[in-house]
Amino acid sequence: MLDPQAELCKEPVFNSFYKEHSDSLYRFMYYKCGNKDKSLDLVQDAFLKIWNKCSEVTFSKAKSYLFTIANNLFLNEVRHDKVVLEYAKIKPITNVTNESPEYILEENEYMDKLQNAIAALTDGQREVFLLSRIEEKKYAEIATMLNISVKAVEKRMMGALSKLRKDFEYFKK
Amino acid sequence: MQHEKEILKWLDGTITDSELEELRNTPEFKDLEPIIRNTSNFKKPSFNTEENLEAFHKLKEKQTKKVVPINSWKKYVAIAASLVLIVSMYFIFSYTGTTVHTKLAETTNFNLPDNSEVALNSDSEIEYSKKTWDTKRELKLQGEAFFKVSKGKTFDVITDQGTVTVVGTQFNVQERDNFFQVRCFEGKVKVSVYGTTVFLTPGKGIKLVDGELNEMETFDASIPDWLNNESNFDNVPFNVVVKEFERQFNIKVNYDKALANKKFTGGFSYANSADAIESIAFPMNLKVNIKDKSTIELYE
Repeated sequence: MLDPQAELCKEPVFNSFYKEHSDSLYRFMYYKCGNKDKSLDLVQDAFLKIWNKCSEVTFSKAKSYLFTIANNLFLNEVRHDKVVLEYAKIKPITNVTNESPEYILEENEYMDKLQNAIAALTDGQREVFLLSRIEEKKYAEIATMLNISVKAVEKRMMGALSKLRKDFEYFKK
Repeated sequence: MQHEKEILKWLDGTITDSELEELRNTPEFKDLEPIIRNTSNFKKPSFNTEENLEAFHKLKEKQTKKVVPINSWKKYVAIAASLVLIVSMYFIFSYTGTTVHTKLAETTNFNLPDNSEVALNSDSEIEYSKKTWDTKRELKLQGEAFFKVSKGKTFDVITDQGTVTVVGTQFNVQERDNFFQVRCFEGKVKVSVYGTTVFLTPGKGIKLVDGELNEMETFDASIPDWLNNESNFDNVPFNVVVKEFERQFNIKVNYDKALANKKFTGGFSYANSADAIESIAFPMNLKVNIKDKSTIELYE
């Protein structure tokens, strides 16, 4: 079944492959489905599929193959949850008076609103926006991950931006 | 949105300083900047790589364990299959108890295990099990039969077109190709055909052609005509009539098939084949040509 010659079939090689990509694949899945358990399942299933086909996958293609598999597994899932992101509490840098309860409440309110606005983006817009903003990926990298063109990535990005901008139009006083 | 190009460059980190300087003064930038700045405050969802790698290896082991016992899995399937075979053999043999069959131009009378009387018309077959009769009172019928059921007894007559349930009664079931007829002579009969259920009382009957409930019929007789050695038809497709003739006399009748669905009202006696074919042909304006002992031709 396994071709021992194949690079990926060697366990140490596969382990380092797992260590290198599981983390980003997990977050990629989470930005899509918003459910931590499900994201983990998708990650493990995708790696399992790669392992089972390790002799057929060339090492250089393995990463994009991994993301494609996970993406397809995700698409097979019927429903998914709202994406909820945790954020670090914002520390005001200088002014102590800013720490008044009102100020903190306002910041939290803002972050909650932002979180909801991001969750309300389409799946395509949200994954591009978060991969760019949180994962700090270049459009070109995102394009390879999603198996779409850079133009399409930019289009989704602009879609996300104009939606978010609209959502916050009424927030500023 | 305006300045799309610059905004996209800004977020991809490919914007030049002078371009950024220009962008800063646009209302788009002013709206988007706090959104972008605050989005970076979101944490990356955390993932414990070591722990999950370990979990992955366990999953992998589990999977290989599942793959290995293919042989024993096959063994269970084999055992299950032979069990199914044994059980179905038992049912097949216990069911194929008794078969009563009549050839063309032959009728017969017999009793069921509960002493109900059955008269079986030509070219018909009844199948039932003596062994399970007490628990499963049902029989399969192909063709036509008259039942005189002992009082208080009940059973089902199953045909390809419908099921007839009876309680102490006398009734006739005719199931021939596209034709199905049940007539009740005494007691009460329940007929289930193609999803509908009809109750028949004495003197009432139903007739189906091609599975369609043709009509409810009333008749005036104490036993079916065929037991008096004659067949009568009321608005019945001509092919049904011809087939009945063929069955009663074991003579093949050739006729223009365009007439097959024409409605026929009339009858014939089983006494003499020449008279009988004449009584079929005449109402249809057909002439008779008796070719030999076993073939008759009808023509216009």
